[in-house]
Amino acid sequence: MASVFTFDAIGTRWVIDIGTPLSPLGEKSLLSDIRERIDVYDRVYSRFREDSVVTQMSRVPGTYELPADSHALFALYRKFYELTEGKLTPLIGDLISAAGYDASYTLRKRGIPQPPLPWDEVMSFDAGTLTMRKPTLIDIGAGGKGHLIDIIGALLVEKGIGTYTIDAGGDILYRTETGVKLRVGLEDPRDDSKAIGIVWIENQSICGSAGNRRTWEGYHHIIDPYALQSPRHLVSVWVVAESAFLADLLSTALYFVEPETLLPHVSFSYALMTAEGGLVYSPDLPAEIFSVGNGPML
Amino acid sequence: MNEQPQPGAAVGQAKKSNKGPLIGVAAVAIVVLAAVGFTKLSSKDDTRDLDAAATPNTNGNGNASPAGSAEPVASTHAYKDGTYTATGSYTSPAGPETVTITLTVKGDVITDATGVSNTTHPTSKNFQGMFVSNFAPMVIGKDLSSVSLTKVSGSSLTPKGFNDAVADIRAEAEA
Repeated sequence: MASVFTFDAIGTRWVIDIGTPLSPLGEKSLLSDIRERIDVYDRVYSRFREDSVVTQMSRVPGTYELPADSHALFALYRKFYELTEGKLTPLIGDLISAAGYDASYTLRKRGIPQPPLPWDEVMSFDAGTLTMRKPTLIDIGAGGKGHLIDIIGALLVEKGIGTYTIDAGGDILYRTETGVKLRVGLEDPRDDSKAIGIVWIENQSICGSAGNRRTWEGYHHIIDPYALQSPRHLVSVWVVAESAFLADLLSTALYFVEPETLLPHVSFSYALMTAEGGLVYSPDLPAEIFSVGNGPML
Repeated sequence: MNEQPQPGAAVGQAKKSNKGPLIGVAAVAIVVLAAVGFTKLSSKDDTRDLDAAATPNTNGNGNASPAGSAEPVASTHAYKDGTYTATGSYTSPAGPETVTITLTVKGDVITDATGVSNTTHPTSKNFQGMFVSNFAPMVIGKDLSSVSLTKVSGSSLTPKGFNDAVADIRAEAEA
């Protein structure tokens, strides 16, 4: 594509390909706008920042006015909270921190990990106003990156850029007016120099979630709030959906519930790699999977 | 009590046989489905009665006939693309159980297998989960450089802070 921006933000590497030619000044200005928008989001929602609204809400009860992007954020989180019977919850921050993945990356258990309280007991959210009754640390790791990717995508569209790829640490949103599909490799969680298949997307997002990188002391980045353990039956999950927010949340939800629980409510396709190394995937996933015994079998 | 079921072992044997997936896996499917006590599959796209070759052999331990004793019915059939669903019942040490299995066949390969666990007993749930995941094709990794790709999707690269912390802990442990 015409321009590529590469930078680090929210703890991961971003690569944004822009399909519309820009002047050097235009490039500089656009990159600056993108980074600023990410920082604005981070300053509200990051549990890793001392100065964030989320950190404040974890310490002081009260009523907080959140920005406009909070409407969609809490609405979809609520939907998945209900669909997963509370296993996917934004109130997982204290548990993840107690397990070790805290704002200072202690990576050691602190205290006794406890299940989070029910959403309605802790807080209410209505049209941008969050009432925090029992100060709790919100963590939107399950879907925040996808939400932010969509926000940046909308920013690009607003500026007249109709073809782009946003890749934030392997969660990808691809919009195009050209009809060309994007070939995305599914990284082998056992060996990151390899792929176990390829997926083609067009005006969709693919998000992946695997337990191979952020791992410590028997946990990985997803913790079941009732079992107080990280799920081990799946080692990697990929989801293709219309938006990065949806795909991101789904890629966590699928560690907690089966696809059949979600498919009546959300449109998506998926691939789940089991601990045994098998791949379960939806028939409509546009993919080529590299497997033992692929091809003619007689 | 060891509830590791024979079907698990049967699946293992099928995988090691190195035959094409449909013969191996379908033979296992037939054996295991027979073990769970049903003999008919009905497809959403096509009605196909598939009689299991092996006699159900559920003793009190829920064991299935070893794969070797089942006739590989699949060797003379190609499976029409479609989705096949069946519900089976069997007796586990925890009592009577049922499981509903859906297999999707595409190009003579089982591309998806889902089990809906109708049990509330935790061990039965695990067994059913294992049973289902053993049907999924075993994936192999190909070097990224050998595959024509634009992007790669996997777990997020960890923040520097995370990696530094891991390094610190390792250094402490070795000190």
